[in-house]
Amino acid sequence: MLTLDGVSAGYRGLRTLHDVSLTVADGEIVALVGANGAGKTTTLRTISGFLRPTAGRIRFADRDIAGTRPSDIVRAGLVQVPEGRDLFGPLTVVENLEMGGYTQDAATRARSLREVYELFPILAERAKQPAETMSGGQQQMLAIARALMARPRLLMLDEPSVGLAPKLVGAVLDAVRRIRDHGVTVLLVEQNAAQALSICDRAYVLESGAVAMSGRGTAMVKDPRVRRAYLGM
Amino acid sequence: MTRRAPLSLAARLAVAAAVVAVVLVLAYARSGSGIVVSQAVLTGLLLGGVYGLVAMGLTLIFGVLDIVNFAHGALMTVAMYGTVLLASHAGLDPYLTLLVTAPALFGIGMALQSGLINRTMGSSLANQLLLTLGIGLLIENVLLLSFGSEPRSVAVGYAAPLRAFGAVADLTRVIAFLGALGLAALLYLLLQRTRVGTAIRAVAANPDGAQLVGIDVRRMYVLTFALGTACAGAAGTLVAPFVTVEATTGELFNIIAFVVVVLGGMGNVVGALVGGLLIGLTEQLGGVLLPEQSPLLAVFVVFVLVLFLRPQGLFGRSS
Amino acid sequence: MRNLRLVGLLAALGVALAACGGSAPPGTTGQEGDQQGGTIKIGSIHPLTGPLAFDGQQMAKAGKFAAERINAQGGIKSLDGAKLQVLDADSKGEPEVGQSEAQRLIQEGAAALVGPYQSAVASNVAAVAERNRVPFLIDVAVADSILEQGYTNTFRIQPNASSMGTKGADYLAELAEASGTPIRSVAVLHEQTDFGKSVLAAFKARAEGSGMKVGPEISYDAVNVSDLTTEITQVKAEGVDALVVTGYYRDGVLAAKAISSVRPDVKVVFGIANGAFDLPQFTSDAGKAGEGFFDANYHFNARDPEMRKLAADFKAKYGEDIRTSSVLAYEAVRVIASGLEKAGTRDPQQLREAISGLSLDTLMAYPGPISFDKTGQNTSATPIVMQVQGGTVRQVFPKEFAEAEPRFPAPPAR
Repeated sequence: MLTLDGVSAGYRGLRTLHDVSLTVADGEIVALVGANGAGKTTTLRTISGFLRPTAGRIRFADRDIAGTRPSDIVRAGLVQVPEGRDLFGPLTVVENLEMGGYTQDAATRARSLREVYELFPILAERAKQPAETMSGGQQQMLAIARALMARPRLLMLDEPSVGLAPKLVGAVLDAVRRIRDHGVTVLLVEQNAAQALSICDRAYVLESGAVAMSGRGTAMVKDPRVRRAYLGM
Repeated sequence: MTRRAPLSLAARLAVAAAVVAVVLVLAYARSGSGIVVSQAVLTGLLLGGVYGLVAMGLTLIFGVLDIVNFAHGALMTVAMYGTVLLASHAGLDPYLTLLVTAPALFGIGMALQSGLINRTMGSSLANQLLLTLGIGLLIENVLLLSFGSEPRSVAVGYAAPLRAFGAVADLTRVIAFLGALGLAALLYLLLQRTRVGTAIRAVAANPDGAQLVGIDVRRMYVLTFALGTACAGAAGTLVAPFVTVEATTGELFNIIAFVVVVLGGMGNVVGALVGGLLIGLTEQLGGVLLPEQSPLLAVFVVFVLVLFLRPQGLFGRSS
Repeated sequence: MRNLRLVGLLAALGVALAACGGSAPPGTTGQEGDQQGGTIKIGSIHPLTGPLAFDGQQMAKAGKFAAERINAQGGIKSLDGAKLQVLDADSKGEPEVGQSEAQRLIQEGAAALVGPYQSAVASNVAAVAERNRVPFLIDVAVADSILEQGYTNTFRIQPNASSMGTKGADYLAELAEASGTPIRSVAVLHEQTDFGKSVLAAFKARAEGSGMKVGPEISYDAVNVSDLTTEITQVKAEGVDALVVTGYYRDGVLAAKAISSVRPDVKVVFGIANGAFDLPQFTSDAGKAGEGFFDANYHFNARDPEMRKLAADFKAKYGEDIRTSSVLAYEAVRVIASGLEKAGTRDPQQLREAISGLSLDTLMAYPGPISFDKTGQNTSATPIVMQVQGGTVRQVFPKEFAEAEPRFPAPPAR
């Protein structure tokens, strides 16, 4: 569904990504792991259209999307939950969700709202609360729910577990699995490699802006290089 | 993030009421006349409403686009001239010209934002300031060249003094005040209860997040700027019946508008209205309390005081 | 970067347009000199843009008109028919700009300067004139202090602030006595800068001397005021016999409207050096609210046939009714021409000598010819009294200038 082919990109002339190639197939959970500063967020921002690649191609569902506006990429069905969440702080939970469904018609929005409330009941409870008054874990769920409101075909999550207590991390990953089971393909970026590798089908390891390793999740977990560098063993 | 525990709403209202009571008593003592005090209060509220009216468009633009629109006053003046022309040549009631000036100013705002200002979004503050300043200067001088330097005025045939509590106010000022309330209500409903308004608030809260949900942020900037200039247009038309219209008239309101925007909390439309009322009252009561000084001194003192106690403005968000 | 260039271009465009303003760019206007005699340059500094452009632009036109008329009659005959050339400059209403423009004009060869409409600008230009020893004719600028610096090169044709205030008090007392309506208490509403304060001070000294009680004294900020209702309510609360108002145009209109709303119980509204009450514009902007208002102010002599001819010719050429400030600008150029004629040389210092000894009949409503004292003040300069009668401004006092009888008392229209 999503293909990056030799993508290079950077901020202000500094090249952050070097010749990155990866694929995400329909129905998969693909993990992108790597240390701080490896270029994981840059990769997602480039896919989402915030950064124009200096080289290479990006294809989503048989369409070339490099250089497309971010709002059009969302309309195409490729939605990101960014690191830092980028919620609309002063707006209420339900307003955030309504905005999430901005590209959809009213009937679909209503249906999606019911579905995300089922997935994250806590959001229904706090529907009229400003987003910025919620706890970290609740905000993360809101961010994911908001992205789901856009009815994505592929959902990208950038470090959803950062700053969360272990129990909440588990809940978030649970939700990711259920999302995939509902038919949404997932690209998961994580610094916390252990968690990411445990739920993914395939994984890529990014080092200094380039793909260092790739393979099935189960294989990566057993790879001694991965274990030493990213699993602390 | 540590903050002093904020006073409850009730406590804050009580403090405000106490301050107001003290000021009124002092004003009465200074002037020796209850009528003077009630006149100062009435004039202050009406004037303050106009200040709020002028500031609303400006605060909207600042809150969403993060731009200080120095051309705001000049745009108001364009609407004033529009009203003067339509009223004198087409014989229209000045208030009816609103149906022309507000949409016209909306269009001008759209053109300005999409044609010029959108290109500087994201560039330095100095760039944007210079640009809106340049636009304001350009507009003012085009007006001077087109209409000459002769002061104009437009009269409302049915204008009359209205009396209440021993004080008096001209109908045209009351209409402007009501216009301010009406516009504030309209903007509030738009921003809070419509999809577009919520999208505007979303862009103000987090432009990146807005892109991520599929909102075309550049189009929202154009829409919001146009809305802001339409407000400037409405303000210009509503004040035209009681001001002398010249190319530089809008400048007079520019400075006050900035003060009100900062005082009320940048981006907050209700804050602009309340801030305006506060400034208006301060100006008038200050003139009674300190007759030898310029009332701007009292305004300055209040401005500094509020910002010291609440740097984000009365209704602003502490970041 | 494209953005920066675009921004710069726009800003430059705005500034350039501002520099052009509403009149011809600074430089040559009026005739180029004939072969014999050549040309003599006169620098003319007025606010051609900004809030005072209305008067500034007409004053510039009036100065050029004077030069054209003089040239048409043969120029400066004692200098072989040399033609006058008026160089316009825009002070933009700012003292620093006026100063640098004065410097520039002198460098371009101006033999004399006229202007500038504002006291703050006049002070700066006077200093430049003194430094360069070039005569400077003030057409309009009221502050006493300008001629209290010991300058020998600055001359003023209009009355100064103290004489306005003093004569204003005299006129008020005389009109009251003549009509048998005693005025015992006077409130003063004045703009808060030096202009308003000095006129008030002179008025108060004289009025109290003749037995009137002056108070309350209410000041306001002319630049920022948008409503004078509270101030007039304060006047009403005091219950005074008369209200004196000193200020500029915009605030004069606001005062009239406030008076019409509040309806203070005064017998007369008396402007002194008021920038609104004697202008034809005022009667349409304020409407019935201004009916009966007096103004003790400088004024051209509407009864003088030569003045009426000037007004007609000016209207024919420019389509505008000439105002007093412009007549003063016209007279300023005439004074310079007479000085040149008398001196027979372009040398600025000799010109200064000639001007200081002049006695020139004037189109202004003054009791005598223009003639300057040691400090450069025109000794004949006095205000006269106008009144709005039936929507028209008429000269009413003293008798030698009166077009109509004064209607005293004149309580504000209801």
